[in-house]
Amino acid sequence: MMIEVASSGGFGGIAAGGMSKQLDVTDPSSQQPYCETFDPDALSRLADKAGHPSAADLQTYTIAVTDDDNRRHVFRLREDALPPEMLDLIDAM
Amino acid sequence: MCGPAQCHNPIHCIVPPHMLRVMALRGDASVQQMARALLHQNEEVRDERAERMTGGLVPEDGRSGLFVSSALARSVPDRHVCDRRIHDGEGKAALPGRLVRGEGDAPTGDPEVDRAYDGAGTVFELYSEAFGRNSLDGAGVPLTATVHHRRNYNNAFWNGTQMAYGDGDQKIFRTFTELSVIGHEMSHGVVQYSGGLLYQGQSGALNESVADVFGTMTVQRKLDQDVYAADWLVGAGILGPDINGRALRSMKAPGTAYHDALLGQDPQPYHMDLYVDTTDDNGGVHINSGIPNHAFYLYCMYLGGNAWERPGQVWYRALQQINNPMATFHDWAAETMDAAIALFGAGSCEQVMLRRAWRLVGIAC
Repeated sequence: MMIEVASSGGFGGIAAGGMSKQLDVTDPSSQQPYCETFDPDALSRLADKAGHPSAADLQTYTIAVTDDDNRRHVFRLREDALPPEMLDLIDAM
Repeated sequence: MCGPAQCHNPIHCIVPPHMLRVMALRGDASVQQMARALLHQNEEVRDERAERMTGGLVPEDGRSGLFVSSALARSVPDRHVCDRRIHDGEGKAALPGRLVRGEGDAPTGDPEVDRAYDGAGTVFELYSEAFGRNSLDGAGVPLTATVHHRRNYNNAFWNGTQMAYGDGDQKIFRTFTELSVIGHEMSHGVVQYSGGLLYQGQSGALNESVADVFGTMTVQRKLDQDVYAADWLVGAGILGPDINGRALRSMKAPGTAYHDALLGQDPQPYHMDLYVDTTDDNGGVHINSGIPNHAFYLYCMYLGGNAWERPGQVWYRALQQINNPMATFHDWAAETMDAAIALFGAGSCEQVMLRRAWRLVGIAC
């Protein structure tokens, strides 16, 4: 399982202000939180969530998950659609 | 095709998505909830008390058929009371985090906490003393902010209920608790409680511009600078030490705030001929805001004095009066013209110079 995360937007509106990270989950048993949190089905549910209509300057995340069958799932989510625990995992990647 | 098998709510079939978005932004609690549920049927709509206050418009006193924000319609109370609540995110994403400084508490010694506290007070004073507004919602809502949000986080935002400030990665950004940034984020709250401007395309760029206008105005008033002494920068000094740039945006000269190998060239236009059509950044909300930003700057140059006086009063009144969350730049310019006439009279210097300022950025009104 490969997880790729990139962010863009925000107060600055500067592309370079975003981040780009990737994590190759070769040992699911030791990286269980990532496997569960970045499960494509779970991400799909998050993508359906609406954020606050008046929020401003939030970043947008593009999350790509390549599963063990080599299928690539790409999601584009606003920052406030992601639970804090997921954002903390992204920061720790 | 929306048929009975797919859609059980007739409103969902009739009301187009853009109207549902306005309803989600502007409606009362039940309308907001309905609109959100229809827009995102898989989501369980959150019951947020602050949201129920969002963007309430009320009939303008004595003028049938006109609506203004509840903040403008409300009579000015004798005393506005600031209630700041600064939290420490401790490098995590959960909001609001641990409360570290409440109203009246002594400085903590943490520069981020204390700048967020002092800055929130300065913005509160601007709205209270210059515009007669009691906090972001006009009704004294507490000012909640979180500093140290996440790790190496290159951003600050308004999430609909509070402000959050990252520490930056110390390379591209070194801080976000600079006064114009604080004023910018808090002004997004004022926009929200003034009827709202949808965060997409031109209305989103107007939302950004209003936040920049009142953010820079906060700095100017704090420093007691007239329009000629001001630097007209947004985010001055927040860029990293090796970045070639003075700020994030320049209202005086959009497109010149930075020019750097890593960041590239500041992309903001100053004229409609240079308007940037893009799908990035919610349709370029942080880019095309340069056009109305520059119109405000030009207007201030024409009038002189302090930005929070005549020019600021026109912009503030327009924000309270506009009843169009999907306003275009032209709609906004027309609203400011109406505000100038209402405040200073038809044919006044304030109206004539405003028209000239808008024309100089390519907007006829």
